[in-house]
Amino acid sequence: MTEVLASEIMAAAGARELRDGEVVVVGLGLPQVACVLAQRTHAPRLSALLEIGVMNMSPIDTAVGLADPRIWYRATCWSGFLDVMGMNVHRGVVDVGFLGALEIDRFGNINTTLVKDDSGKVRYVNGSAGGNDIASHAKRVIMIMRHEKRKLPEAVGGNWACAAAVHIA
Amino acid sequence: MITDMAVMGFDANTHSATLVSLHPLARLEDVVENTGFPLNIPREVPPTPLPTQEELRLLREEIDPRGVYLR
Repeated sequence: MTEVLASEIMAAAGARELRDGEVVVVGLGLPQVACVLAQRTHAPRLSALLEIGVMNMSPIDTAVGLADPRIWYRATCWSGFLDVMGMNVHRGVVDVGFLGALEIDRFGNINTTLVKDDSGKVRYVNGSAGGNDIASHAKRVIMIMRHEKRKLPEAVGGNWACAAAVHIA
Repeated sequence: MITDMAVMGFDANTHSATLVSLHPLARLEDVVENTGFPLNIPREVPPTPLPTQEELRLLREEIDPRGVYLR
């Protein structure tokens, strides 16, 4: 077995945070990889929900987007964003929100919407989509991200108000 | 909070970020250096457990064989 990658340690650490039988809204990338790992090891009855409305899927390949049918295989429910957000997240039945983020600060405020670079130029990222709702309503939130100073600031959004900041602590 | 260096949580009283475990090969000083806020560091910081052989096999052969996310 070759050297273990940091991303593999992250995926395994993420999987171990999930318990069998939990309802998890899962984001694309390492959260989804960790979720499948949990399902195939200690958590076979875990329910995974994708924000776009696909639930309990058995992925047969690595997805490049949420709207990638390779991770929808054998899903038990095909609904939509409002169903996941309304009937699941806002109803309070989601145990874990498993997300990525652009920035997280020391109190767990998340920014997935925009950042300013050193020159002051604003860069928009495609969040938060359901990130705010999920982080606000899920009983636990797990975040996966690269460990960089600029991604772990004292306060998210720099010196300005950030509409998408949510609290997970 | 899971990063490529460590697992962090939030202190129950102060709600501020606290180191939970350090990944093997990651150094504590690098974690501190690459964190933009003062991180609570307990006296004992355990290593993050490595993936088991079976977890590595699943990750590499079944879940992400082309290394789209695991790279």
